[in-house]
Amino acid sequence: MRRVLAGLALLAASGTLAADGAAGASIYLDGRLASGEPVRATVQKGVALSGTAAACVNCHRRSGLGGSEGQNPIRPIAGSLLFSPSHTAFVRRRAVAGGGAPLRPAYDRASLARALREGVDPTGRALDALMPRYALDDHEIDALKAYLDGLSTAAAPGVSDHEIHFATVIAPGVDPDRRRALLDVLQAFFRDKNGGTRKETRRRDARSEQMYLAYRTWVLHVWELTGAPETWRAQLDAAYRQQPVFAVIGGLGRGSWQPVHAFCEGNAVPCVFPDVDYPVVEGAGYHSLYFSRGLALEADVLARQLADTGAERIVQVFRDDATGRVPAQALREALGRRGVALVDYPVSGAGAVPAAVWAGMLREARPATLVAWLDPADVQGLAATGAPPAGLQAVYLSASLSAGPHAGLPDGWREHVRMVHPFAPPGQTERQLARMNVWLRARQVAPGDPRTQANAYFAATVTGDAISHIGEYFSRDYFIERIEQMAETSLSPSIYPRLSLGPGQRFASRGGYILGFPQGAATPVPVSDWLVP
Amino acid sequence: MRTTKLMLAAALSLSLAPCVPAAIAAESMHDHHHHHHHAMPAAQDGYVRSQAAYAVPDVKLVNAEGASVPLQSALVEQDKPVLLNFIFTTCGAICPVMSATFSQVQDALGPERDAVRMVSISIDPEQDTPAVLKAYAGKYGAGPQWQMLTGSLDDSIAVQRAFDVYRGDKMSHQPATFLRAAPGQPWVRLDGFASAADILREVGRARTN
Repeated sequence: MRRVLAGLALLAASGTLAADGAAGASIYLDGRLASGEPVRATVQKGVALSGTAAACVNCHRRSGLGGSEGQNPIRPIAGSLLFSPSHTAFVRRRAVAGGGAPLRPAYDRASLARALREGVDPTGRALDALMPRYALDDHEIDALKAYLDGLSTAAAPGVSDHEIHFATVIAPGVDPDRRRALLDVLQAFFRDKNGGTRKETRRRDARSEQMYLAYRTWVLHVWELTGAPETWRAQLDAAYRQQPVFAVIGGLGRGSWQPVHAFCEGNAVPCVFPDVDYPVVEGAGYHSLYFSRGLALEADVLARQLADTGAERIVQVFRDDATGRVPAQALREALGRRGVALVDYPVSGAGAVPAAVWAGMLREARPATLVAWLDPADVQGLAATGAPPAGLQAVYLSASLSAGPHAGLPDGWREHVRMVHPFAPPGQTERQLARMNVWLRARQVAPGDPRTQANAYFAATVTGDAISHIGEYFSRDYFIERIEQMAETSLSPSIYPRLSLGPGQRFASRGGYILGFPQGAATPVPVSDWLVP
Repeated sequence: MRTTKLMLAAALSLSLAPCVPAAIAAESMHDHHHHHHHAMPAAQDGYVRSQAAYAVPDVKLVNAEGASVPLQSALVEQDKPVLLNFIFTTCGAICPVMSATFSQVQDALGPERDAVRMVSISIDPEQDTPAVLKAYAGKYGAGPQWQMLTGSLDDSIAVQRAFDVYRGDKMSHQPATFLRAAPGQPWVRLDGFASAADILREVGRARTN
């Protein structure tokens, strides 16, 4: 605490430094000079870049710790690394306390200016062809230097010398079996992680090799929310104050995830792949990574299917509450953009939708295409109305809300049923998850809800891989950048056909299948291509 | 052959993964990469020129207006010279340079630009929807002769394979520009960063032949 106050006093005392940092931030992040003019630069042989296209952040990223794209190395330029000598990986590994001839000497103000303007490093070597030559004056270079000095220097919350803390979040009303499945997988993963690094902690303390400095014991905190969603943010903030965490791994919730999303963004906590149907999809944040847009994605996939198949007399039935209106509104808007008409049939009241309400809807609205954003208990009431009416051609249900591919409808209805399924097709999923199931069995984890287990396993594995890559650079920005880069090539199994992110991308799966039960098949099969709305 | 080599490289980097932070690995592995890939351009040129006949797959892609575009008509049957590259809109380092280069080629051609066709195919097609591509085209001032194409992931990969630019995932992509002078002619392939002047020279050559 004292250190923080001292730092603040220092900042206040040097107003120009702060001003430089702000001007530097605008060059680095937005490609904009203090004058408001765009930053101008040329890449080799006169290819001109300006403004956002010339911003440092495009390649060096928010962390300033770099990475690579294709065969092009993106050098780390955070001040702590740039303004100190760079050693070969070998020297770094072997000589924690320094020593050996550096690969390049430390940058200073003059050599930074030369690198930016002429593309030459302090040894006189040309920088990579991708590094633009910048038209920046001395003041602008000072401003940029001030910004680089501050990059990735803040101690990451939740990381001590010996431990790294994570949390997972469970909202009220989650099925106890899903809760158990999530915790079983995460706890097994954490046991594994710590069991496998026992020797490394001794090596770390011996300080013989730099790579061991990165090892920390993984600690999992389970944050179980209670009460109304309006109170969740305060609960999360309190838990975080008591024990800051580096990141949140996975999570489960039945309704809107908005309060958790707001917590992650508000505290700059990376929240890695919670298993939720109602993520925040508008103006997606930076720190929250999701498997997909959930029910909003299902609605968009369905809109594409309905438009492609020329569906007529479409009626959507949904519960008239905060979650029920999410897919309903998304479908209405997506069909509207395609010029397809839709009739809303909101239902209210506690308990499952009774057969009488269904019968009334069928009589009044006479749908040819019925969409039901409802759960299996509600849909049972539809079957209880008797045989499907003559004009009804298809009943579309949500795979997420139906808790799996079996809608539980009797014959007669079943051949009308189509499921919007934003996952890999049944059959393929089992094959994809075979390796995870071996892993779970070897750790005496009982089989549970496959979606929950698989999503928890993916979230944990991706976190583990990213933490391995960031080494001792415990920067949350760098952690997120690693996940953006690695998600696509992760070897971890999942229930999605493919998960992929990229710079700034926040939803890893972007499509869905329509499943049907042809000829009374017991297991549904895809009746559409993978539809990406 | 190249695929094997790259898979080997991928396996190697995976086995290094737990101990070497990426930023550090990138810096120290820089020179190492140059030795291994014969297609890498000599530094003084910025690119390597070669020629090849590519079998363009019979797929339909989608343009920034959402209209279906048979790739055969866009690349094969098209009687004007065709310039082609592969991009994705959230790409940080390589694509902005390639797109700025295409933009510069277009500006340099001026009124002559209608004598060529320019095509940029997304290698991240699920993210790069027509609406996203339209915004990207706007950012680089793409004229009517410059089409941005997306489509299904499978189709995008098929096209990348056909032009030997598929590297397993989008973050591993490498810069390349292609030019075909006239129907039936082989493709000129420029691996690396060809500048606008380099590309214009190729266009000039194509139009005089």
